[in-house]
Amino acid sequence: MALLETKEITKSYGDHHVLKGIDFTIEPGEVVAVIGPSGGGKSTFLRCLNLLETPTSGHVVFDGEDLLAPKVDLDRLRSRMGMVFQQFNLFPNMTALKNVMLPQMDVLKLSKKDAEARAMELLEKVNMTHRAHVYPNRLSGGQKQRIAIARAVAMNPKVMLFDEPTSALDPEVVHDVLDVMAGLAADGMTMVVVTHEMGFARKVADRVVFIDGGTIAADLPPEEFFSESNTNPRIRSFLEKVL
Amino acid sequence: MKNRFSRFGWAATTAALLAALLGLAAPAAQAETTPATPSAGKMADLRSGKTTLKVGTDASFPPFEFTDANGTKIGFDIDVVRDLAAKAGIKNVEFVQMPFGNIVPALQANQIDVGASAIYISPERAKVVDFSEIYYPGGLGMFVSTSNDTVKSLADLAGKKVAVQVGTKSVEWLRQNQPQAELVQVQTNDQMFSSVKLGQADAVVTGQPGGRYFIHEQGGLKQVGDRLTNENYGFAFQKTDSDIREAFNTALKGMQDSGDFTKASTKWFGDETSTATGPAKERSIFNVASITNSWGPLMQGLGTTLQIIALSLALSLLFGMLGGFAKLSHLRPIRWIGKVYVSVVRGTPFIVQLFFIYFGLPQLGIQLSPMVAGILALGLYSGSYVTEIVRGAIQSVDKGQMEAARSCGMSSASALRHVIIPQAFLRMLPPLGNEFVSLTKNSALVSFVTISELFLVGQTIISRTFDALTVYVFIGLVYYVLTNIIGLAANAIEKKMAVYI
Repeated sequence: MALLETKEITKSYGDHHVLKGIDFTIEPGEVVAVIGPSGGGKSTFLRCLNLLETPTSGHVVFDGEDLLAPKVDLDRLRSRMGMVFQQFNLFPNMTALKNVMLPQMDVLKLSKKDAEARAMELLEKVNMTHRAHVYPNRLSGGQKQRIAIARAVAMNPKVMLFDEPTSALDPEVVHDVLDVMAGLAADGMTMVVVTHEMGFARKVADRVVFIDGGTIAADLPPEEFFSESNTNPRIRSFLEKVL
Repeated sequence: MKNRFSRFGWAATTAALLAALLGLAAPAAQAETTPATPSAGKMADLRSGKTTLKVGTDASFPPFEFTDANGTKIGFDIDVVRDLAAKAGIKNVEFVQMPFGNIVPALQANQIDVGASAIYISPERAKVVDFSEIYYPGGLGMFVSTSNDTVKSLADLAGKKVAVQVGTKSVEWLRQNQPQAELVQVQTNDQMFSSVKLGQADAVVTGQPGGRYFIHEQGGLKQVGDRLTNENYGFAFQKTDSDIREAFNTALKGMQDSGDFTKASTKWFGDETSTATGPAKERSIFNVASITNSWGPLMQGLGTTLQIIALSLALSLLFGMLGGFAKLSHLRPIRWIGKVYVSVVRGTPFIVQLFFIYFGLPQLGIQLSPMVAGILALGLYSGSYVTEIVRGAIQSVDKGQMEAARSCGMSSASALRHVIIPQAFLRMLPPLGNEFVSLTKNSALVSFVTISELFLVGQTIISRTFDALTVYVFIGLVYYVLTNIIGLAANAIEKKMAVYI
């Protein structure tokens, strides 16, 4: 059974139709890279998966539960879907360590001691133990994003959603973050990654989903997607621009 | 009144809840949330000592009523009322300070039981309150500076500036009998005399005994012309309190027959026939004694001011938080409540709101003690500004913060508490500091509803010492120190919290 599935979701802002009916599934352990031109609806699609945006119509089914059903406990379901943002969205009023501890204590009801132990474990995984007691304002973009990933992973999510996680980073630190993500993928994490990093899509993803004009124009394994034999003109024109 | 009260019972309940919230439940309970009870029971309660006779007076009118250096109310009216109450068998008497113009409204609003403040018995007043028998034959006199030789009679006041106290008989009388006089209406008795001494007015028209007392104490003025009116002072009572009034009349007769009344009169007015004139007394510009002699009452007033500020500040934060969240609510009716609150409270003068709460609400059966009314009004007023501060600060927190918290599975309440509000609070601090400085300064205005806070204590000192300069400089300094402490505290908290900026 698919871990996460969308059925015919659409999203409109007045007359502006951003998503025009998207069917999508992801199996446990899969890594899907979502690529496509700006304004094509990639981010809106990703944000519909955990209902940061409410689809205008359609269904989102996660772990067998319909997120749009009337009495669904959205907070509980969201706690099992980690999200990483382009702008990191660390909480500036707490240290790196507290950022990772807060959701564990507030949502998973872990004791302070347990939350701290787990947070330190994850900070070590992302090579950030030396900055644990620093406020986000003294961290670089790459460091912030690694902590944001640790914060999401700390919740033991079943799936992680990445919304252009490296787009706001200086080029020289992009790889620090991509390495952490590749590590997660290797550990078997299910991931949906909206990205412009074609190298990551090619090397790490199991599937590449190409979204353009509010629809999925292609859903292929990377070797097929990036191969010369892929003659879809929209994809060719996009790849020519980014590669 | 009764059926009206039940209709507005919810409002009274709200008021009582607020009072309890303020930790002032006890005084609020005393301040009867019911309208005037039948008078017979009231008299019995007064005699048994269960309740206290509340006597409204403006203690800025020597020698009838004023305060000594310790802030104790003294004067002719004070002595006579104490004696009459004792003779009537009333155990406890409390004098309540209020501006003269508020005494009759306060009787109508059941805030006080007796008005004793050298009140002329006029037909207009007699329509809304009842008077005792005449206890002092007074009348209006005309006073000018000793150096003034041009004003000798009422006719000479044409085109001249004449100082009168707001709400007193002099105002209407002059309009009728010398309409060409230009009235300078001042708030307190001493301001009338000061305005002539300072050249802000040419003459004073006021009760003759008060004028003579000023000349006796301070000099610099003289009485000119004949007594303008022959009018009589009486004690004022609520229309429903006929038995209290009767008891006072009987006691007054007894006092006059026994000679006690003449004794009191001589004590305060001395020899009525002596010529009332004298040169201005010499004194330095600043008189430290004006402050040091009244140190006790001033510190008490400061204590009251601090209490008012602390409680209204807490209330202001509460209203501001509620208002701010109301304005950010997803529910249209709740948003609407927040909008109306800010628009009405921010759009009308504070003094109007204060008087509405203290003098207006009693007509709906909601009677609040001066402290509760003052604190409630200040909190409500300041809260409307805090509402906008809270709303603005919360909206200024990046939308991504809420999204990050929610996508971790945190509830919106948790996200607000741990993530949004701590960040918003830091942004609120500078404007909150400003607002609380304003609140501190506005607290002086609650003196209008008879609260003896710092400013009113200052005014009563001036009514005795006539030393406006020293007293206002001192009081200004105290407020200056208070507002700066608030400013520094806000800065310190901001600095301490801003480690992450």
